[in-house]
Amino acid sequence: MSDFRTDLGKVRGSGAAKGGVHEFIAHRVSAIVLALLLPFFLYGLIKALHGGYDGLIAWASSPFGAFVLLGFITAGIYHGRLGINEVISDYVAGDGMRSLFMLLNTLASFVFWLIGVLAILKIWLGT
Amino acid sequence: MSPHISVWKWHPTMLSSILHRATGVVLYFGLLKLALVLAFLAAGPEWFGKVEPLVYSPFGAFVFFAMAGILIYHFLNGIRHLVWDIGAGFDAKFANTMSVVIIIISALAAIAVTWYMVGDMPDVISGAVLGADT
Repeated sequence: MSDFRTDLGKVRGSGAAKGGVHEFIAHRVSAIVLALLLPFFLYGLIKALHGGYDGLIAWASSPFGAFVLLGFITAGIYHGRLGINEVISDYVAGDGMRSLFMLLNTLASFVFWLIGVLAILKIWLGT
Repeated sequence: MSPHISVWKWHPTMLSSILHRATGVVLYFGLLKLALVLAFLAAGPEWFGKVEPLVYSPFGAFVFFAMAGILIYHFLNGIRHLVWDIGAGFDAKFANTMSVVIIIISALAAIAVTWYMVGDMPDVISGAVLGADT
């Protein structure tokens, strides 16, 4: 691949986005985790949905089901937060607004992650 | 750092790229919804009863179909992105073909999964709540 970057740009090494290597790698690592979990998640979900309330409780209270759910929701919301941040950095103009939206996204991700994880733990450990 | 949409002629890989981002955003909200449904589930049968019609209804079956298709599309196209990341699969013709193939496979897989999901549960289609017989 030919290189169009200037010498100064290479020395500074920041690119147009000024950063984001960590996010780039974390996005892909969480993608691999999700891809590995997805078959178990989909199969488990469909099987559990067949059983209604009792089926869903049985799924979330089995060690493997709880593991898949916890892993999927954790890796998923983490992956999604990074993705939404990428969308925000693409479409929201102005550093202030961009930072505000990313902050709100991070807070929302944390709140919903906590809700999901606490719910799974309550079902898993409480039954 | 997206190029502006208006300077591109439509082609399959462009559609894939846009769909990947759009499905990703939808899936994020899907996960937030999953967290909420799990919270209702953890709160007990009465609370779950409030959200049960959202899942066990014709509308719920449609949402399941749409989300399954969106999830499978993002999964397959995401694997393609990982392959691209190691520097393979960039031939334009092949990439365009794969874009169409992935969209078609996602749609078929969504139909299959939804069929498996509601096929032996006619109650779901008719809107009857599954929990009623337990």
